[in-house]
Amino acid sequence: MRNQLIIRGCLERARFTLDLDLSIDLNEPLGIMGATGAGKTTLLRIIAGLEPDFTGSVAFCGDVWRDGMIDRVPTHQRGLGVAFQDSRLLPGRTVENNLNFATQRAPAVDSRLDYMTLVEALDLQHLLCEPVDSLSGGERQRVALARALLARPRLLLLDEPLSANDGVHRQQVIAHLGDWMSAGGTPFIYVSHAAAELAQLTRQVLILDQGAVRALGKTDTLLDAGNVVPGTEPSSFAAVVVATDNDSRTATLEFTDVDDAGIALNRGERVVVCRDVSEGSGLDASLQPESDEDQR
Amino acid sequence: MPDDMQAVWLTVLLAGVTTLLLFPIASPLAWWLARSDSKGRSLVEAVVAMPLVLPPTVLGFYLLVMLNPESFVGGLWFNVTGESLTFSFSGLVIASVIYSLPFMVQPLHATFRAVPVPVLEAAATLGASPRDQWLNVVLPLAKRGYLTGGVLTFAHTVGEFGVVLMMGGNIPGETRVLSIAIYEHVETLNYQAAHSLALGLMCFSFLSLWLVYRYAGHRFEVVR
Amino acid sequence: MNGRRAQAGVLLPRLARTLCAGLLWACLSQGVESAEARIAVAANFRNTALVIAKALQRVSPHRYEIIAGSTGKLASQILNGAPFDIFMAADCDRPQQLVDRGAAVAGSQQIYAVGELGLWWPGVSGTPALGALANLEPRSVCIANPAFAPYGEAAWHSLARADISAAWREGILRVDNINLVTGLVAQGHVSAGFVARSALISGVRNGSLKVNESEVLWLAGDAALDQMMVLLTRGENNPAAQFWLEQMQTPSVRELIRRDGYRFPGEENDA
Repeated sequence: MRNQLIIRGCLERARFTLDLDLSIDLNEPLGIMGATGAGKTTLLRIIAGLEPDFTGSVAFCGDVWRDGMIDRVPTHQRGLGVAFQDSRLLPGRTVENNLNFATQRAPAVDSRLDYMTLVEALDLQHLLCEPVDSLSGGERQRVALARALLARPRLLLLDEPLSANDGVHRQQVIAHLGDWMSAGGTPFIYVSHAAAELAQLTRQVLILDQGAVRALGKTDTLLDAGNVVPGTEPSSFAAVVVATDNDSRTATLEFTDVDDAGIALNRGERVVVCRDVSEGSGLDASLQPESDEDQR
Repeated sequence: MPDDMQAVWLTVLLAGVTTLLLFPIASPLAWWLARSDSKGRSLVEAVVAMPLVLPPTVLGFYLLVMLNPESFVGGLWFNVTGESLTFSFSGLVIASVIYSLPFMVQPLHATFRAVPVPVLEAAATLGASPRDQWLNVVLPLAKRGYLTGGVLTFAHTVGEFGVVLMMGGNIPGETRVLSIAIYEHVETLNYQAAHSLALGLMCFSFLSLWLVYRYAGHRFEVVR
Repeated sequence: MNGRRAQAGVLLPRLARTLCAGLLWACLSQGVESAEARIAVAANFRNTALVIAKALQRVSPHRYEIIAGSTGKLASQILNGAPFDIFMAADCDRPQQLVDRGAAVAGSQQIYAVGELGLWWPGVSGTPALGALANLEPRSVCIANPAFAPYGEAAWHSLARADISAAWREGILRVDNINLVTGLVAQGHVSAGFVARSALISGVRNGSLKVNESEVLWLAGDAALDQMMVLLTRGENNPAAQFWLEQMQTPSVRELIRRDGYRFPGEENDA
């Protein structure tokens, strides 16, 4: 079936065992969500063929990519485009050189996304001749994203591709991505903590918890993000979990740092959220005002 | 002195040929050592490092025995070419490749270990086959290692003496390399000639090392 | 216009002469195939061999490489495949061994010179005598290593015959080849040494050595060394090697050998 991704098998890790039995229709973009260490990146790596210890099968569009412990189709022949969380740009080279690495190996397909359009949309035109080692985290991520797109992939895998970017850039890129993906029809998988991003880009979402699939369903339903106030941007916060309540499965967060406050919240404020987190742990959160929601 | 000029040329030729041969020989070996988890790795590392600690005369002796026209390997060569491997330039090349092997493998090993696996994974996802990754990601990052390996191998081969003495002899135009020529001049009390060769050799070694690190040292930083 | 014709007038005859000379040389050398030969010679014969090679290269189109070393070492190299065409030893044993082992051509053996061993003892009080050596520290007396140098072997036997104790002999300084002994004595690194006659003679001749005859004890009768040469299998069809072998018997070459202090079999030494 076209754009059908099938993964069946398991992989043992130190902190969890990833056990999967998935058959996903990627005609609808897929988001992946879960706490840190839940196995999101590992799942992407399995799809990319970068986990040699995975025992099971991976198939896409009817092509069997992995069978048992053997890769039938090696990574470089799967037609992927991957934007890793840590960017992984080729060191000692310029931005342009990195992008060319992708274009030189991309299949010759017609795409509305030509080189300059992409570069300008991701705000990279002034960085083309810079050595990648001198870029900021956010800039590196945008280069990695451009590179993945320029590979003209059959399947695009994005692992928190904008986590180091500021709110302005994030919004811009998400908007572009949304347009390109719906117009181009490239199946993609988007891993993120940010519910708002997932709401904007994906139609279905997979929630992972300690290696197990907790839920797989429509984004609207699972994230309840249909209530987001349109036109507002999410704000980023750093918080500390000061109390958890196992009965109601809620946690109380105290904000330690506030960035770009589109919502009126101050340091020291507390908010109760429905999250599985442990007391005393820190986390980065982003909140977006939803209608009928009271922040205090 | 034309004889000594011949010795200089022979030495440069031997060192050059040995270095060029060691690039393709040492690369896969060093790459395997850098990437492999196999238990046999430490064995291979020890074997490769042997010429570092082995007295050159031991190596020379065993080569003399193995490359002799009476032996299997030497006999094969003799049947094909009609010449002996011992006391010949070809035999010296074989000896030098073994003798200088660790000087090429070790810098390459270190440089390959420094190539980050995540970057290679990224290259793979962009469509680069293992060979493509090797040529276009690993090699550009390994330039400094190759430079170091090349210079060390060349210099080390120029200084070869014990091995040559054992199985090379003192044949002008074949095996009479600089170190042997200097030795011969001292033996025949021709100290003047010994001085000019020895001093010349020292200056050459110093100059080439200095030039390499001065000019080629930071040329490998940004690949456009 | 005149200048150009004048230049041509000089160049053309010159060109013609060169061409004729070239043709003549080509015709003459057609009869003899020119070749290269490698001659392995015992260390004591090195200088003489170089002179002979130069002389032969002047009268023939052949080229010669002289490689010198102690007899035993060269023999061992030959057995291990060293590419020599002729072996000129300082004894008869080694060439015979090579013939027996098939590395040399049987019947090609000839004694090319008879060398002489001498004890050189600068600064000796009175006439140098073998027995008197025992008064010196053995470390300051030098010989070529008897294990592979025939001259050293002869020296070793001379010391034994002179009733010098085995213990003393063990402490003697042994060096790689006979030529090194000469150098060490000349530079004062050792008090006395057993040298080759040829080394002293050619050293005095080219001004590198100062030798007082009264410092030298010649050991002719007991320690004359029959030096044998042999054609090696590798050089069997080498015209340059053949030429060298033949020339060894000619008076002119023999004179060069005699000049360096060697005798020939059957001759008495007059010095």
